[in-house]
Amino acid sequence: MALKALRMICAGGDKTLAEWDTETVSPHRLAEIEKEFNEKIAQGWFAADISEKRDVLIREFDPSAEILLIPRVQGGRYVTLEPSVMLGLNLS
Amino acid sequence: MAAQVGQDNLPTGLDVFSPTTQDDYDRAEDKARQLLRSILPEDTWSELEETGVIQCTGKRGKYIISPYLQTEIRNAASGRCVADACLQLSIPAPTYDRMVAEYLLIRNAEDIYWKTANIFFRGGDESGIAALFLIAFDIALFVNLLQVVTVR
Repeated sequence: MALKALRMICAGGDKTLAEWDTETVSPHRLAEIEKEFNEKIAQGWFAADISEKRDVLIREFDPSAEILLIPRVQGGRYVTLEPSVMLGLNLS
Repeated sequence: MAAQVGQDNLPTGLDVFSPTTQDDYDRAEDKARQLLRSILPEDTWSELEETGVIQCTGKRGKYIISPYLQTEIRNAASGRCVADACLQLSIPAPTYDRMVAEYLLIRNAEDIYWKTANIFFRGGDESGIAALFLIAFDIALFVNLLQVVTVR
């Protein structure tokens, strides 16, 4: 028995979208999971094979992989901390 | 209690779930931390526990990824910090999930990381010029002092 999962990052940590046993999963169920995977990729999410610390990005669904879906990324703001914040002072 | 009532009004999908209480927030952070742990090599995870940051070396330099600060980009040879990078997920998510995304992008698609993140280069040259001006000013003062002493 080899359990694999399709997981996605969300606000509450990560959640499992689908889980399957590579030996017993039906082709129909795999097709459903692959569809879900492809929809996320089309929306700009990227996917990584994280089985056994493999940590490689993938573009195509691999039923033998533990897959993590990661939302689109964007440039962030440059944040500088005020000295009072760094010292933990409440000056308000 | 108020937070729970508010949450009941939200759609049930986890996609839109956002932590509303400190407990929710802590649970999400803990989950994200475990996810990061499952991805990082053991020595990198130990480094995170000891120093609070992870180091990741790419083609363009060495990256210091922190949960709470911008990612430092250092010259791989000299170790000097050359820039800060800011990258965020397009959805609200725990900070350790952002670290997961950064780590995977740097390891697999460093060029995309550079195209996507906002990179703020550190001005090393300006401080060099300022130092030169200060040295020149000091020399001028010293020469002036010598002239005064010589005249007397």
